[in-house]
Amino acid sequence: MSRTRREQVHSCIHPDTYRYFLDHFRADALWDECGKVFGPWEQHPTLPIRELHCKAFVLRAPDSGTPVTLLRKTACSHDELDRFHSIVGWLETQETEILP
Amino acid sequence: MITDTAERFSLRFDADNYRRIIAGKEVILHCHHYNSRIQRTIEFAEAVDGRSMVIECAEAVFREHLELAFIPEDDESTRWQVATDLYSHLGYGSLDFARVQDDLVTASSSHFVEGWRAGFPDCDRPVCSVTSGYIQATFLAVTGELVTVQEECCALQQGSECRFRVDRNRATPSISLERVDTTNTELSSTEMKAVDSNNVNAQEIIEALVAMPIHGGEDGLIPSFNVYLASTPADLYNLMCIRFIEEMTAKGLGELAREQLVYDAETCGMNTFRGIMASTEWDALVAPMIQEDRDTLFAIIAVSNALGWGNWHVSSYDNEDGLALFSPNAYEASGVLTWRGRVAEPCCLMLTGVGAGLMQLIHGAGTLEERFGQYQSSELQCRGQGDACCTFEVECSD
Repeated sequence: MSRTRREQVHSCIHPDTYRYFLDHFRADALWDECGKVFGPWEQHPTLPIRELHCKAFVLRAPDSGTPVTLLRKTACSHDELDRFHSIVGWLETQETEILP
Repeated sequence: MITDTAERFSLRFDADNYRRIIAGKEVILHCHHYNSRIQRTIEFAEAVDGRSMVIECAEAVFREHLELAFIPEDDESTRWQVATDLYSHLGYGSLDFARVQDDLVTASSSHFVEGWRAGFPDCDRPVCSVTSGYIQATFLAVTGELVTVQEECCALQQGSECRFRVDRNRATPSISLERVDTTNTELSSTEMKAVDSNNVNAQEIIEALVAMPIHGGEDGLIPSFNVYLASTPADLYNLMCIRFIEEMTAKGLGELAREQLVYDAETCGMNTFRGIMASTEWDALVAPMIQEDRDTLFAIIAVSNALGWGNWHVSSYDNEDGLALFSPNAYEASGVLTWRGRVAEPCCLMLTGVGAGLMQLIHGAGTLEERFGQYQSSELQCRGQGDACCTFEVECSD
């Protein structure tokens, strides 16, 4: 199983915005797991995108389910981030890729 | 929530003029980067009372907007609700008028707080001036009362909500919205020819963006394309900027005001589109059309046209060497002609700044901060001065 990696996305809603690259074969299962924990994900009404809106953040990905951008809202707590990281298999000890 | 929100606030896109119209008012989609910066420029200028300027303009414009949104059958309770829903629909956040009898209005989410939190988190002043103006407008539109609204607590500094205190003892009248010309927003005739990309289907991008439901969600915010968007009446941007320049000019600081507004737009051009280009929406809609580097610029122009920025097009593009653009009905020129008539100087400061910002984003070198000033943009002709069309030139700085 390949490990989830992430890269930082700049100029977004929150300075700590990241795009998580999931294992393609597990992406759907991970989205379903996120749906159970944070609320159901939905198909974007006009674009080939899936998204999940909850109080803490917005998750958005192409139809394939990966990469997932996590847009952190003001109400987002460390606990909620930890839960998301635990589902997608991201470890805080991993290195984040920095784009120019 | 009112039951006919979808119908009452449905977007009408005037495809001939590239205008977005919600509840009878032309609106421009801008993001939290631009909105917080332009507000900061106006409100932090020490020579003028920028905060009052923002509130007064917001009051006048949103009063008109709300009156357009109401229908004759609306009773008072429905009108309060329409005001709440319109605020949320435009993407400004969530307003609660439940305690209005106690002269208190609260906001549990705010586009302005989010914008300042991202750009200027250490600001120690309340930042929801547009909201104060909106609440004053709501009183005028719903009950006819002139009130003064003060943000006594802003979520940027503390707490989870913004609190607005209503003072009903106000003598100062609302500013009047007197238009000197109401006919200029129609498409001007122009001989300019647009250069297109072979790979980017601008029409497809525009149609897709117009079809997207870009309005506030449960919390009244619009997290779209990686940024917080909001639909703001073009009248509000125009009136705020016109008054700011006029009052700064009266203090001998007119050129500084114009330069600062261009700089805000330059920042917007880089930050907004940097965020947008990294978004899932961009990847789904636009990225498949990008075959070569220069396609990016054409795609960005198409996106900005769908946002209502000004029906602008590329007239020549020499990659990193330079860019020329034109707009037959840029919203700033239309605003100046509407509110003041012809002026002596080019007035499309937003498009001027964005032109440089886009070239720096696409062709600049170094970090975003290092790219500022690598390109210079100027408006050569402007409808606000009587020209047939607004034209812009962006050149690499030496």
